[in-house]
Amino acid sequence: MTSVVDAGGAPASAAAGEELLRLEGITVLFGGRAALDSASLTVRRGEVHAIVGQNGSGKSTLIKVLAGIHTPAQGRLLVEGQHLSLPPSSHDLIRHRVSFVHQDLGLIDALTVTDNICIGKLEHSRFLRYIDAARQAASARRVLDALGAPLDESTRVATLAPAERTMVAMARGLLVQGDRPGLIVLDEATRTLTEASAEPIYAAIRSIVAAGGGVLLISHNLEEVLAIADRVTVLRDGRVVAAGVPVEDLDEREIARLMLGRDVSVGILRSAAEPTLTEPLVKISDVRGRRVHGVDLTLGRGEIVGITGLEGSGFEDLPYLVSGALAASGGTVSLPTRRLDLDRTSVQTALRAGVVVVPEERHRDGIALSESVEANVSLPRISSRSRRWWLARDWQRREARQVIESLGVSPPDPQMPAGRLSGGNQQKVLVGKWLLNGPTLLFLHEPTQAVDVGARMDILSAIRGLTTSEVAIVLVSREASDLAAICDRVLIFRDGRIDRELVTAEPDDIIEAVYGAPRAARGPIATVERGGA
Amino acid sequence: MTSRIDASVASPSVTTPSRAPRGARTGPPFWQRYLLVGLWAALIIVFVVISPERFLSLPVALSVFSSADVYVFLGLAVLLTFYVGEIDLSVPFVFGLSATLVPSLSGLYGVPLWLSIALALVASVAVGVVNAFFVLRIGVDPLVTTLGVGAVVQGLALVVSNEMPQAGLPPAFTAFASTRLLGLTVTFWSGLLLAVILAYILYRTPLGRRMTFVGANHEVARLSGISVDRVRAGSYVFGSLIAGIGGVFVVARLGGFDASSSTSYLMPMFATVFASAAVITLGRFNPFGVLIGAYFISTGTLGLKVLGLTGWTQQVFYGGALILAVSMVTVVRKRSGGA
Repeated sequence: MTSVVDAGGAPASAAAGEELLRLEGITVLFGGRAALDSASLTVRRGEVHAIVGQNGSGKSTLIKVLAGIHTPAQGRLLVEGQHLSLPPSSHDLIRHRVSFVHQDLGLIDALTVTDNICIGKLEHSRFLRYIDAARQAASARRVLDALGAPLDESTRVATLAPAERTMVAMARGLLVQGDRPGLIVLDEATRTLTEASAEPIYAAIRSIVAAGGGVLLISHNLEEVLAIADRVTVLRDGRVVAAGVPVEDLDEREIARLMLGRDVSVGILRSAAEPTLTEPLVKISDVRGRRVHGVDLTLGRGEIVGITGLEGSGFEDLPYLVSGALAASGGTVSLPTRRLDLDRTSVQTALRAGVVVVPEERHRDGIALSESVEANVSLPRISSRSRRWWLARDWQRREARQVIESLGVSPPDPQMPAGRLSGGNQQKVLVGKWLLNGPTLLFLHEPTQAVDVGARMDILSAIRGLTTSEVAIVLVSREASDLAAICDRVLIFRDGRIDRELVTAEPDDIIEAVYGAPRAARGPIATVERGGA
Repeated sequence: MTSRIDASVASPSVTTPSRAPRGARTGPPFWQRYLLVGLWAALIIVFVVISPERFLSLPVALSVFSSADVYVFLGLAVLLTFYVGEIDLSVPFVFGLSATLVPSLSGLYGVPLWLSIALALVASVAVGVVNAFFVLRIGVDPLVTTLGVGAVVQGLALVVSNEMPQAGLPPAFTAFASTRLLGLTVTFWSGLLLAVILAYILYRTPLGRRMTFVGANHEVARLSGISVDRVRAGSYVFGSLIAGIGGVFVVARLGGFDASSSTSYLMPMFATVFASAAVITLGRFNPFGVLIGAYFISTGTLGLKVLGLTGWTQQVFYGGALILAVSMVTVVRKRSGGA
């Protein structure tokens, strides 16, 4: 225990610039892998501090450490200069005025704005302890006014617009902090908002820091970060690669470069030859599903096309919609041999037509860990390549050997249960299982997820080595360097549609296209007036 | 040791050094895989030591195997659902329905024997279809569905038998069931044959491989083009059919059946099927394991009966055997690293 801050509290203005939050040397291990490697972060009073990074860079892990969800192997947490034990209890966090607004907001739709705001701090009468509705409404009004939100506190939350709901969640966070503002953590809270509707939120953020509070902003939107943050911390592969850099020194391209890094680049495996627009092999038309709203895509013979986007933008659903694994509400796929109507295509039909998906969730959808490598590899062809009442073994052994040799599965034992292989080797088995199916249209969803650099090279070069005139390959990935390494074209999804197309893209271009402003430019976000008190 | 590399692929780097794969591959040692056989032998020795004059006789030894037929059929019936990751608690009641229908129809209602048998099997299949309908179409939890259906089925069996034990079987039929080959009854040999057939299907046919993967992981199976729901439905229907066949064989050997006794088969059935996962292929329900489990249970039941210990001792034995089997499976699963 070091210094204890005077509980009475100094006036807010005097405290501006004072350290509000300090996370030091936070290391989080997930099964031996460091999700965070000695990451540090400092947020001062009167500033908006943004954390950016690719998916899997450790942003959300860091926030979960602060929220007390993950226990770090190492590290220190100081709030308002006071040490808190890790993981902090929710009581500690409330006492030290740290509030979270998560992406899902956590509002109760059936209740009113007041009820939602006051849920953390019920105003009850002194003796009978009934909830005092008038006082509740007054305190809700007070925090809403502080945020500049012209909301009627008696409306039901269900009827509010997305930006108004975000405002309610922020007001709730502010209310529990009492008279002296503390830290508000906005964890992707602006994700679902359009730029125009987010303006009042930005203004509210500025008013919080103007009153001497601090805001920690986790955002995917670089434009937003550049517009409202004072300082930016960039995470990559669990490490802080830029700590609290003033936003004046940055632009979108520079942040993209920092997020991506250079040291992990796998190099370019694309063929040197110009990607000529070959004759089309597969035509995907007007695919519609829950998160996909009309996607058309023509794939050439031997072409590798990448699709990517922000989480939830629909790119991750496309393979499952096209392969019958996810119910599609419409769309067709024209293959050389046949045409599939996606609203009534089963996995079996799609497989027979040559549509194959190497799924993302390896342990859930990809391979059965309790079964042998050989059985996993041969599964999709188990009926077509055997007689009905006799399971021939020869072809299965050959297939297993082929996968083991061509992808370098180690240890090279076809009878070993797949669950005993390392993650990278399991992934090789999964990819190999489907490569042998002779696909016409092959989707690979995050084929290099959670594999080390060596296995990643093996997998990417195996994919590159697949290109023949009889197959079209779609790499579905959030890994910009994978996309850049092997794709002839990269399509960026936004809101369930293809937003733009990059030909032989560099990783930076991809990051910028995914995280930057949409193509249909709506004009830059008006830079809000900076500088607190 | 490095792996050989296909020339068509640009230099895969072997990232993990290959360890000697033997230990990992061969799995648990022999003594662990056959520990249950050892326990069975120990149980026999205990009985022999207690009362050598009553247990050291060929007829007693043979009747252990002959009277195991009940557990063999019940275990194999429920094995089908367990193998694909389902559960069917109605199996003993379907078994009881079939064993009640045959003597009731032929004895009480004068239905020809062959037709009674056919109707008993049709009824069994129908129960399987009902289970599959509720579990797969409506989406009710299998535990709840099959427990409820089982109670209804037992009720039906009580109605058709006028709530009385029924034994109206033609003598030729009972004589056939007690025909002995090498000293063992036809019912024993048919149970053995059924286990061999199931093992063949599960391990040597594409259908069996599909069942294995449905049991291992629904999504993996589905995305590999397997009709998961058809496999699951099939396991209920054929499981019920096996239970029905078992009912026909067992009522023939016993000469009659009391529908209200179906409930008492639930515990030994569980003990048998869980014992199967504790022997031969550890952690996996398997047909030959069902045989060993059934003989183990039969030895205990018969032994206690010969010693004049019935009633509560049998309950304790069934329960204890079940806990023992499940504990062995759990310990083995933990050792093999979960998966």
